[in-house]
This record gives sequence, structure tokens and C-alpha cells, in this order.
Amino acid sequence: MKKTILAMSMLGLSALLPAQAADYVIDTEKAHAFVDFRIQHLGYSWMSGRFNDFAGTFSYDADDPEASTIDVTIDVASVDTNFAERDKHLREKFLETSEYPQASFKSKSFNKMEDGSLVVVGDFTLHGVTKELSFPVEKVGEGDDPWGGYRAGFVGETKFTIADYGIDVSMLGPASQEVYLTLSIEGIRQ
Amino acid sequence: MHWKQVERRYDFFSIALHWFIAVFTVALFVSGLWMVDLGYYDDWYYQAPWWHKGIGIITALLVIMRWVWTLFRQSPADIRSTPLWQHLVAKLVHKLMNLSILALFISGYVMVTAKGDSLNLFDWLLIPALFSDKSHWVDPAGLIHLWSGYFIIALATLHALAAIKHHFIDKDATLKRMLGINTGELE
Repeated sequence: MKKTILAMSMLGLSALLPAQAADYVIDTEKAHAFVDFRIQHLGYSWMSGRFNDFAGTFSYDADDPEASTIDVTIDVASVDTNFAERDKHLREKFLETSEYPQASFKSKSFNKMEDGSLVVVGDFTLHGVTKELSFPVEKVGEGDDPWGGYRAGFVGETKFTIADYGIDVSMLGPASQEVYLTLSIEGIRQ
Repeated sequence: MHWKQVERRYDFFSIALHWFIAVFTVALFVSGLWMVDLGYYDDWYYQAPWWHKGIGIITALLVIMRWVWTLFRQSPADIRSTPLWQHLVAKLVHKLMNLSILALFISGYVMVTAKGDSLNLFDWLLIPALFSDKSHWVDPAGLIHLWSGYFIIALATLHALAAIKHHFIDKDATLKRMLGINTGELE
């Protein structure tokens, strides 16, 4: 009897509360998440690379996407462009990873646009400089996984001027002043 | 007469090895410090490391050749007027320079090959990598390379100053016998 009342009252309560966003941990363990970047080389081609080590969490509810949050921390020294000498050069001369080992993105708000797309606004920290970035986020999909869990995945890409973060890349030439950063993440619901 | 068999100067092969290694080591040190700060559009941006790696490998091979040669050559006798402690310090400096060269060679090789890339020797030979997944070794190897470079130049400076001191102040044959001049003196 008591149990029934309790269950009924909880049911009633949950109907009054807004939908609860689910918490997800980004699946870095099985590497279903990537932090990629690309930058023009001399204006003739794209050079792409990625950060191998990062971690993060997000929360998301399909019924209330504007309540979403995301928090990602990147180990900048894990930069990987398929060339050991260049990676070392990037760490030492540009990213200065011994002084600024971490980059991060922390969302401040998610906004639903008129066309239904989602735009995230947040603080991006790189090379010790924090600036606001906003970029569209696209849900790739969500649902049960084959191993008893529940997953959701997103992709978002932004472009920024590298010098805004106190990194002098003037010597790389006029075509290489901006970098595209792509976040492709899959989270496992907790 | 027994003393006649004692060498008074180094053989010419040892002398050639010594001076080539000396000049290359200084050139590698200077080029190494200079090339890491070159601008991306500099003509030397790719050329300088190309030379640095090639000369580096050649120097390492010369040093190994020198180690092997030392086993077989007839070394000149110690100069008698030089006190024992100076002989010992000189020997220690030589050993440390050898160690530094070895550290420079290994750390340089690791920096280039840590992710499986070969080391390009003058576009003539690709020295293969021994591993493909040691990118976390690159930064420590870089530190070892830099500090071994400073260390060997400090040792070489001491070594050169000592040679100059022996030549001009003690006026003995220390420097002459590495220049191939047979002074006939053993004192």
C-alpha cells in the first residue's frame, strides 16, 4: 500500500518536472571519439591531425536539447600529425605544451535554431587563453548498443584564428592562419 | 734500444678521425641550435635538418670507427712531464665525450624514428626505424639531445683549452702529436 502511494506520488512528481537530461561519458576508452583538426599548408592543401588523449562528459535529452551540456579536456601534448618531428615542433614552438598542457571546451548554452539545428556556445581554452566559441552540433544518432548500454553520438566543427589564442603562426604564411577543429564524440549513458 | 719502438705522435688515420669528428661535432652543435628556429619559408627549413642528420650519422660512424681503431693502434706514450692527475682528468674527459656522442647519436635517431619513419641519410640510404609506437620518447630524447650537445661542447672546450695550455705554457708535445708533428721529445 505504502509502496503504491510512493510510486504514484513519484509518477505525479515526474510529470511536473522537466525531462531529465541523461549523463554520458565520452567513449575514449574504446576510441569512439575524435578531436581532429586541419590547417592549410601553403594554401595548396590540407594538413590534418588530431589529439589522441582527451576526456569528457556531456548530458543530452532529445526532448530538451537546450538543456544539454558538454565538457571536454584535451591533453595538447598528444598532438598527432603522423610525423614525429613535426609533432615535437608543434609542441615546442607553437602549442608550448610544457607551459599549457591542457585545452578544454566547456559549454555555456545550447540554442535551438529556427531550422531545428542546435548551436553550442562555450568557453574554449587553448595555450592559456580562453575565448567564447560557438558552432553547430549535429546529432549523428542514439540508441541501444549491442552490449547492454545506451549511446549517443554528435559531431561539431568550428573554425578559429590561431593568433586569437596567442600562438604566433605568421611564419606559416597567410593561408595557414585559421584552423578547423572537429569534435566527433560518442557517449555512453551512465 | 727499447724506447725507439715507442710512438711519439698519433698515426695519421687517428689524426684524421680526430679532426673530422671535432669539426663535424662543432658544426652539428651550431647547426642544431640554428635550424630549430628557422622560419617556415626559409630556404634552409628542410635543407638544414637534412644536412644535420646526414653529418650526424657520418660522425657517429667515424666515432665507432675510432673506437675500433683504438683497439688496434699503437698509442703514443704518455708525456712524462704531465702530472698523473692531469692524465686521469684527460682520460675522464675523453670518456665523457665518447658517452655524449653515443647519447647524441641514440637520442637523435629516436627523435626521427619514434613513429616508424626512416632516417634519411643524404637521400642515399634510409636507415629504418626500430619501433613505430614510441612517440612519447620524442620529447625526452629531444631534451637528452640538447643537453648532451651542451655537455660535449663544454667538454670539448675544456679539452681544447687544455691542449692550448700544454702547447703554449707547458711547451710540450701534447698538441703537436695530434697534428702529426714528430717532435722527437717524450718529455
